[in-house]
Amino acid sequence: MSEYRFDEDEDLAFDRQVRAQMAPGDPAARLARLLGQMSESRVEIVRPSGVTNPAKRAHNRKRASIKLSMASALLAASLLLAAGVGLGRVRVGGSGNSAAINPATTVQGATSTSDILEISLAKARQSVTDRAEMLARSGQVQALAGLEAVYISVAIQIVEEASAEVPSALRQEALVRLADSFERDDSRFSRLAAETGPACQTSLVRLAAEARRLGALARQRST
Amino acid sequence: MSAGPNMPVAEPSLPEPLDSDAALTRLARAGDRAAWGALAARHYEPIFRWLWRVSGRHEVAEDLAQDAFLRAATRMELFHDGTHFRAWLFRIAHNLWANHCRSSARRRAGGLEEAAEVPDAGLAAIDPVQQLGDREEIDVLKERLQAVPREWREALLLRAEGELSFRDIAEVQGITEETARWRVFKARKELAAMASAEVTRDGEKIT
Repeated sequence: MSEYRFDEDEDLAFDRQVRAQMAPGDPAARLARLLGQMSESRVEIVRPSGVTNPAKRAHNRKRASIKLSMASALLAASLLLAAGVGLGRVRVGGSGNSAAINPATTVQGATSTSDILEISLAKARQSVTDRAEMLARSGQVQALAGLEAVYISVAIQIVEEASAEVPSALRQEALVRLADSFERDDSRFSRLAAETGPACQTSLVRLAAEARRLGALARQRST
Repeated sequence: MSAGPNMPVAEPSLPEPLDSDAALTRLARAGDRAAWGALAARHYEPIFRWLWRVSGRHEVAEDLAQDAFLRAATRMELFHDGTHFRAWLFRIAHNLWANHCRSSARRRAGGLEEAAEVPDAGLAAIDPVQQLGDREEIDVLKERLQAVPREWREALLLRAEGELSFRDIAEVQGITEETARWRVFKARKELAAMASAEVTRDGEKIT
């Protein structure tokens, strides 16, 4: 039994106050720098032999109607959840069935155990933009910066995965829909940047620029 | 088939959430960079903030936080399933910070590090509007924290910034849980005493 007396409420209040203080620099840029470092080829992430079977993974990925890996979908889901954005639906089932689904609305990925992860990414993307608007209008700059990193990570992931699919009418349609979505995001972020105060403008301008860039990229790859 | 007398019996449990640390660390251990991205999004900022608080320098904090994640990524085989991933990351960060302090002390002894020891200018990167609101409060806390003995300060910040349990703090610092409680308690007491002294001196509470 500890002899130290604690006023738990007071301690928790202090801890919350500490965490609420703004840290120096831009959290989104900081995270992006780390992820950049981690993706450099000189960083060899350990893959112990026998833990995964690359051939089996490749086979399962090929089976999926859309080439979005479980891990990528999980990343998107995790990042969105970390940002406090509710997903439309996340379902994991035991069925190995997969159907052709447009990645602009829903994405499926098959794991090595044939589970299906189904995430409404379009709805989630919409939720991110809704949340960005709410944060910007209430002047929550730090939270908005965190959301910026999430949006950028998820958005580029969606474009890259859709682009990696074998050329087909489905792939083309998906990329066109993505381009349309990002162009809408660009307009929305730009409008918000003009309407809200200077504190949030930097993030919103960056978000608009990123949405514009990804929209152009998706459009280019759809042709 | 029934389990033998020495076989652990698996208890029925709820399905593990897909975005749990346990699920992500398993993917990360299999070499999955996307899972690492998700883990980084969740844990990088608390690690950075802890290093920033204990070092008082944001460049040092970012360097060490990056090193901690890169080191963790290349040594995932050392992470044990069922243990607290964030505490493991903090342990790596804590070791890097301790090494940094030792090498800084050596360089200072050799007169080599004076140019590098500049005050933290990191807040200049924050939006000016926020900076106005936060700067004074951060400076006051920073000043008080620097006056708290290093090991107490580290323990308190593992609690406040890292949201670690006393057991995890003990693991990170290589001490007993009771000592971890004592360090956090002493640090809080010191800070409270400093705040009281400010009240007495100025007649009103500063923070």
